Amino acid sequence: MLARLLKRELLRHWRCRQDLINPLIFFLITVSLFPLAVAPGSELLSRIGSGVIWVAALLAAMLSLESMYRDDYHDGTLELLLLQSGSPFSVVMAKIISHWLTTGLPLVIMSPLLAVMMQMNSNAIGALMLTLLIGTPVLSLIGSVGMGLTVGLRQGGVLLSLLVLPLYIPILIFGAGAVSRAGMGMEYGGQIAFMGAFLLGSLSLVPIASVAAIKVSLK
Amino acid sequence: MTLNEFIDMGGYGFYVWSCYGAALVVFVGLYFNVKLQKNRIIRQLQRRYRQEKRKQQKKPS
Amino acid sequence: MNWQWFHRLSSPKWFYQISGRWLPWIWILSLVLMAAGLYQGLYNSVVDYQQGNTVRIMYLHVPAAFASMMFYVIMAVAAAIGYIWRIKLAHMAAVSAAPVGAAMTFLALLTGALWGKPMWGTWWVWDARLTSELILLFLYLGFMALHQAFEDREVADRAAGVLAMVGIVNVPIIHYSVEWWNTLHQGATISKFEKPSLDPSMLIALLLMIFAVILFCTAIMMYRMRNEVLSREHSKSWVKEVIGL
Repeated sequence: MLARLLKRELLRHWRCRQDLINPLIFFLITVSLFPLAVAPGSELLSRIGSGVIWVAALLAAMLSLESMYRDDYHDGTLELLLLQSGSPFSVVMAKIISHWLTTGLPLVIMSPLLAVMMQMNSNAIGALMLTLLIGTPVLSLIGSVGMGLTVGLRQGGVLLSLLVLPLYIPILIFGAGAVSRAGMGMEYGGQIAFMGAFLLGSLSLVPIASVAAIKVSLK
Repeated sequence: MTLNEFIDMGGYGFYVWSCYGAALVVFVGLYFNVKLQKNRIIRQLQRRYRQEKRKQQKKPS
Repeated sequence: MNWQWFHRLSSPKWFYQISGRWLPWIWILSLVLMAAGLYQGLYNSVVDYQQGNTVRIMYLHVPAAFASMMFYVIMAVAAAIGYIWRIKLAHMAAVSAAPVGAAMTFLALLTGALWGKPMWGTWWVWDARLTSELILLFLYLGFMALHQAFEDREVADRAAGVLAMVGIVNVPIIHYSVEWWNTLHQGATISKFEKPSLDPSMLIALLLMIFAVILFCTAIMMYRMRNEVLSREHSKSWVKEVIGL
């Protein structure tokens, strides 16, 4: 069931590819604005690089949440899926996994390019990819709850950021922290372990909250 | 302790008193906010009930 | 088990009557305690040997911070009760607790800044406690904004309830990650803010103010709940009697 739903989601995303590319372009542009705004000096850039890339990834992931439920909600597909699939959890999980595959994973793949632009060293680049790999699924998971709550609202976009961004703070702290430690040549296993714990914790709790959120919105 | 000393608070008067002033504003604001809310709700409901009554009176005649 | 008390407790009419009887006493007690606390705090307590008179800000800052966290828990628990057992009164409690808690969070931040300026030499420090408090304000604002966004009140209640429950799971995580982040970034620069052992006169003032502020907030919350009851139960005959025409 999950595999079929996932295939459907991926197909749906593939049909509107432009929506998938836009968050990536946003990610690229936001990061490249920082050297222009702050200073092009390589030392400063490499110091703030980890934070800048993480914040940009966070915003890009949040912007793309819209594509998760909105269309399916408005044409009634979401309601049918929840009713017919028999398991609302697999519907939600399929949406979350496909969201991560179409935005989180491309962000991870793109991040080394931006890290090089921010003059980060190879140690930090490795840590950046690793933390983004663990962190972006958490962003998709938590985001699905916020999106589920706001999907029925007309002015949901701004509200979504107000709901979701505070909840993203722990993952931002540990993600950016690990990268900046790695940049200074320090041990960062602890942060990775914490992020792994966040991932497992949200994997087990978020589907429940997400299903509850969607059911509220569908009423 | 004289009044001036009390107000001066050992040179920290500005910080201490603006804190207490802000707290006063917040507390009074909370109170009047809810008080006005109550008045508004009562007025709304009274208008509503009056309309309902008028409708009921019209029907039988 | 006999659940009758539970249902009686959740009846808006019963709440309206009982709160009407209690509210004046809560107001009086809160104001008396506050007057005593202010007298004790501003006049009758000793001055801290390190912080001087700025320590008197503590008698507002600590109660406000305490209330801000307490009312978040109250809000989340009420929202959970309302969501699980579909009790309208619990949702009304959650909705009424949010503005009170947000106001206290704001006050705690403001007094924190006014305390920080003379003590740390800056209005704002990215200190773990200040930062957590700021995030708490965001959570409150999110809850209120989400509740406002829906036209249907029951949908709004349930949506905001889900958010409050997600929030309460996250609060400790956010708090500890901020604390951890803070210790990483700042050494012992602000260790002079370590808790001084409190003089008994200071402790009395602090306790008085904590109780006074909590009672005041409870009174405001009950008042808000009474308003909610009236406007939501407007079609009931007892409300018509109360409003009178």
